[in-house]
Amino acid sequence: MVDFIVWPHELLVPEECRPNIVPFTRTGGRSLGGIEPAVRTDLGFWSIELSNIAVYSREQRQTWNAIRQKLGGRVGLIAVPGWSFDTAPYVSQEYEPPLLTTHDDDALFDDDTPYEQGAISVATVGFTPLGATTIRLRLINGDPNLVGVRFSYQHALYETGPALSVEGDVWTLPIWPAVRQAIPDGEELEFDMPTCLCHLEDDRGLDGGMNNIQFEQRSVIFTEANDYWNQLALGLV
Amino acid sequence: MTIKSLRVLCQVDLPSGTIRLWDGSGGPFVDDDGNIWRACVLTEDALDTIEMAINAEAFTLSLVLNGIDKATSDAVWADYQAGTIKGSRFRILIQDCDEYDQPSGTAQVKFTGKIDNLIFGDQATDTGIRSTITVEITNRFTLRTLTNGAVLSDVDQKARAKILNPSGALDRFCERVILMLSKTIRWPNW
Repeated sequence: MVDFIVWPHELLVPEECRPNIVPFTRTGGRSLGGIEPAVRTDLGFWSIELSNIAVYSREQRQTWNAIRQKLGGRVGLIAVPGWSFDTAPYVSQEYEPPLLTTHDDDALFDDDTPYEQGAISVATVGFTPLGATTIRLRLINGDPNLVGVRFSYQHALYETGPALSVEGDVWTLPIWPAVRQAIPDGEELEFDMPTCLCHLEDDRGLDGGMNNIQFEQRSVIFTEANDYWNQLALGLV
Repeated sequence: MTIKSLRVLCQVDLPSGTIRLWDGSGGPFVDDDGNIWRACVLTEDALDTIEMAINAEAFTLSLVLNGIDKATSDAVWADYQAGTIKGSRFRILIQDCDEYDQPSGTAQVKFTGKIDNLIFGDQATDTGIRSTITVEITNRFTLRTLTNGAVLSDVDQKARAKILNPSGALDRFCERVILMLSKTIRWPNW
């Protein structure tokens, strides 16, 4: 398993998060009439833009520097959250924080901390193979509308399209990008804070500095680490 | 229905194993047979060259691949060092996809050639060092671009006739037609 870190989503919060997929089409050029037919040759990868991350405390600056030391330019791997409160299927249709609960028998962890459980609970139905572009989901706890939402499984981020069929609480949905890593049957998916395994887009993407008022807003762009998924699929990781 | 989505695939049958690549930056692509194709980047002019190859205009297809992972690169290098890479089959295929970007039907072979040479290169750019592998591939049209491929000399003619039609009688055209002995005929350029 490759060693990678997770972006501290409670400490370094962007003003705006823009998770978008970059598809790619090719075209033979524009005709005199102005029509340009295009053919898609790539379903694409994620580009996650974190804009205006407020940096003011010593802790934030230290964490920032530690992250960029660990990444060392575009090579390093980091799981970046794709903030999705706007589309996530919360039961109340408003943001719900993750729940803190105990185990079945009211037990806590060794150090008396409770379990953290997402507010939304959705599980897969059936095996979803590598490269698939449709998925079957069972809604356990959440708003019964899974169209156009984002979720992740083991730091691979996906977005759903228009529903293909709804049978009771089982939704069949097209997703993009293609499945990066096979998802077994009955697996819980991350809807509360989906994450995406990324590289920095630019070697110097995490540049920072200090100004007189000691308040800065930094922006950084990440692109999905497809080299990792390709190697993982071939068992080279 | 018109095809909305397709994949450009590239298969190299090296002595140490088959390398399957597809042209793009997305995740791994799985075909109908369950083969996993990894993403790589054919440079933009590579597609033009492939197109020429498909039209049978080509000759030597020089294909530059970059963004290749280390394992592939190492495998290619090992074969190259062992001297066994020359003559390996190289194919370009096009796989049509359905509306969900899943492969539909079998991939069509659009170009087949044999590897003639490999050039490993590192190039400094403003964003970093780019490692590339240039694959030089020949097919039966290669003769057309060679200078002596354009000369219909007696020796060339006989040699080519032997390759193209090994079971036929020896080509004695140039011996019989005196004017053809030193005549140069260019291949049609279409």
